[in-house]
Amino acid sequence: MRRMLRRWRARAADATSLLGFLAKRRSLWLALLVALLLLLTGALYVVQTAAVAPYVYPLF
Amino acid sequence: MKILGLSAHYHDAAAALLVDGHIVAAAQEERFSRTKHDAGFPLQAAQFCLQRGGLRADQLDAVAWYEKPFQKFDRLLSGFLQEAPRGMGRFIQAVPLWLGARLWVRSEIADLLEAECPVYFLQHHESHAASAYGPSPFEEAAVLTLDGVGEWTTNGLWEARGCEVCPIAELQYPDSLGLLYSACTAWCGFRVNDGEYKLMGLAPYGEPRFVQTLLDEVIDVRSDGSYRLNPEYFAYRYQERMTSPAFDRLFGSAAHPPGQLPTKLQADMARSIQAITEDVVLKQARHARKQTAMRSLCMAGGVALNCVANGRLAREAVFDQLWIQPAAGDAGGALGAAFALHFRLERPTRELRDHDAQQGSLLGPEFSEQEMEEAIHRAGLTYRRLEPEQLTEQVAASIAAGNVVGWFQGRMEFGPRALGNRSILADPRDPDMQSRVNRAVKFREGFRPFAPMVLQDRVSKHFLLPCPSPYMLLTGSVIGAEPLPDPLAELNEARGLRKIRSALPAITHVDASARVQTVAAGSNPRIEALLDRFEQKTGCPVLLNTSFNVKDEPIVCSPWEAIQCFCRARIEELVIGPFVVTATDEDKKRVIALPAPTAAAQRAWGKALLEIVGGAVGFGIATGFLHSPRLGWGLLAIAATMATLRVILPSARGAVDRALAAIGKALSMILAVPALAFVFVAVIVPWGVLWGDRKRTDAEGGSLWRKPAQPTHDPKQPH
Repeated sequence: MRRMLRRWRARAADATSLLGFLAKRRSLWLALLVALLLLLTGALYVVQTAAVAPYVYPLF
Repeated sequence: MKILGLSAHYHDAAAALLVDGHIVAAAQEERFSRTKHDAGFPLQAAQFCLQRGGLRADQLDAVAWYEKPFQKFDRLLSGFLQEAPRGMGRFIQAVPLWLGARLWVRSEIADLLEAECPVYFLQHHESHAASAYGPSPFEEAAVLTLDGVGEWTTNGLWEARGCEVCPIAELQYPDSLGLLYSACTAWCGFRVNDGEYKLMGLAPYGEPRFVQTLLDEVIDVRSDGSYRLNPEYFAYRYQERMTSPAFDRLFGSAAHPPGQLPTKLQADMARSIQAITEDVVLKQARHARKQTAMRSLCMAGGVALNCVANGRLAREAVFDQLWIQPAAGDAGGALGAAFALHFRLERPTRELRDHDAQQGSLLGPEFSEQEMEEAIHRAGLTYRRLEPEQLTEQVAASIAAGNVVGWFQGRMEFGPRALGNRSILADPRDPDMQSRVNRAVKFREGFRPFAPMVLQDRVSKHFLLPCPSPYMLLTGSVIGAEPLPDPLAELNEARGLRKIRSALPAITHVDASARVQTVAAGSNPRIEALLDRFEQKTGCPVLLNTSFNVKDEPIVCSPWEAIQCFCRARIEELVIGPFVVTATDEDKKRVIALPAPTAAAQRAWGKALLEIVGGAVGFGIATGFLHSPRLGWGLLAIAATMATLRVILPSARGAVDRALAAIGKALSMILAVPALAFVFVAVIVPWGVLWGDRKRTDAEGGSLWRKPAQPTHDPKQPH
């Protein structure tokens, strides 16, 4: 549980930093592009995580 | 303060532990994983550093990451927009890597290392600069950083004083001396980030006949050492290959096929790019001296491993003193990140020191006598334990008799060079030795030279070297040696370099130079004693020293790896700590067949097997759904069975997890390729073509150095 919390805390910190970075970027296009890619990755990440996360095993 | 520095994700991942400004440990991940230039997260290296420091991960005060990942990603995306519509293949290849792991450094550290402390992000070249200045003996210095590319910076000029390391000027991607050298390396048939030192070794065989063409067409070098590359000749911004077809046309040939022996063309290119590199480094050093008015220079970054350029810099005495980080490549970034953070957070006072703080770069693992003896027992080889004096006598006599000796002592070296603790040693006076060690021991190209190690106080008898070279980072001339009049004739000579006219032919290159390692009194007592005894026996205080590995393998780390290497290569005698090991050919064959003893190696095999099975199942599911639903459902049932197994058989969890992860990976890759291709065509190409910034500001004839784009930054942020 502690490990999972630590992991998600770190991921949240990474995501916050990324949002901060996007906000700082003057070029809107880059922010949009990254957002689009992130959405795509989110979907891919779900597929990837589903394979190893114990709480989604019922999916299989 | 306890700081763990980490570098990873590109090549030569490493970890370094700094406690109150003192280097406790540093090591490259490749030495543990046994994958050369391993780029993966340096978990084993970090675990070693913590173990050496007697720490748990939760006792660390900070983790220092060696670069700013978001800025690097920004550069990557900007590059795709600039180059669109080219670069779809590279986009599809690179983006999943970034979005999958490289952007989530904190998460990776929390997950793998289980560290609770804050993670700080230093700039890539700041890490390089601190890796050079931090351990150096100077209280102030100019610092030059030269490598392929960091975030945007490719080449930096810094001023370091006390605990301040401030950027003065920089050159930015895509203008990069490191990438130019790597591009020529690839064009000559060697691997990028691996074969650069081979190119440097090849250079003396050629003529510098391409220098003018390179200067006219490919690189515009200004008088202060700043430069600009002509992008027309390079493909690395949008393809996996380094040079473009225009480069091939310019030099009248396609890139040399990897693995084939080089010819005159490659030798001439090597010589030409080496000449340009030396010229740029010298000009930059002069500019640095002028800008900073300092007497000492520190250097780091991959280009700083070019010992020929370094030797010339030392000979020209642009600066009074020179110190180069022995792990100058990205591995040293781990150490540099830790030093940079130490400077920022602890603000230490700094004084001029007699010696550097690199501790001879002997910062890796060491093994107990018991561990060594166990490994020898396991191999079932004949051995003797000798007292230090007897050991020195025995090894010196053996080398003098013409034997090649594997020498494994104390702590492993940090950085690419073996400095006398994981070395293969031989007699440099033997004219056959260069060929013999290249072909029968190291299994590598016959043209490559070997380095000498020499007692510091005897160096002037054998070499013209302007200053000590304890880390084998400078070349000097071999006294009394004559350059070969026609080195090209010897390039692929099967019998090696027997024609060299020198008293030390095995370590004399065709241009009568050598990459010298000087051994100062008290720096490494065992190797010092050996050199001393060898001199007493032969009158020669020099030994041939090459790294204890064979081609394409990392330097050995543990006694077992030393034994395996000893058995694979034609080494007559192995010295592990106080033990002298010998083996017959039959013994060696038997030992090579033995399985690796470590659980890690067995796990690696299991993991690889599971990934193959998992990948096949994942691929099957996807193709099954597309072409045959029955097959698809069948494969899905297999995956479901694996998941059930995981629940009902706790012992199988690890294995099933890895297999399922591999299935997920395969599935996500199959989905990712068309999705990313769509993103590229639908977003990148129109945006890039319409609004991509393709303009480059020009400064005709003037300096191309620019003010640092980000002179200050928040180390808590990855951008």
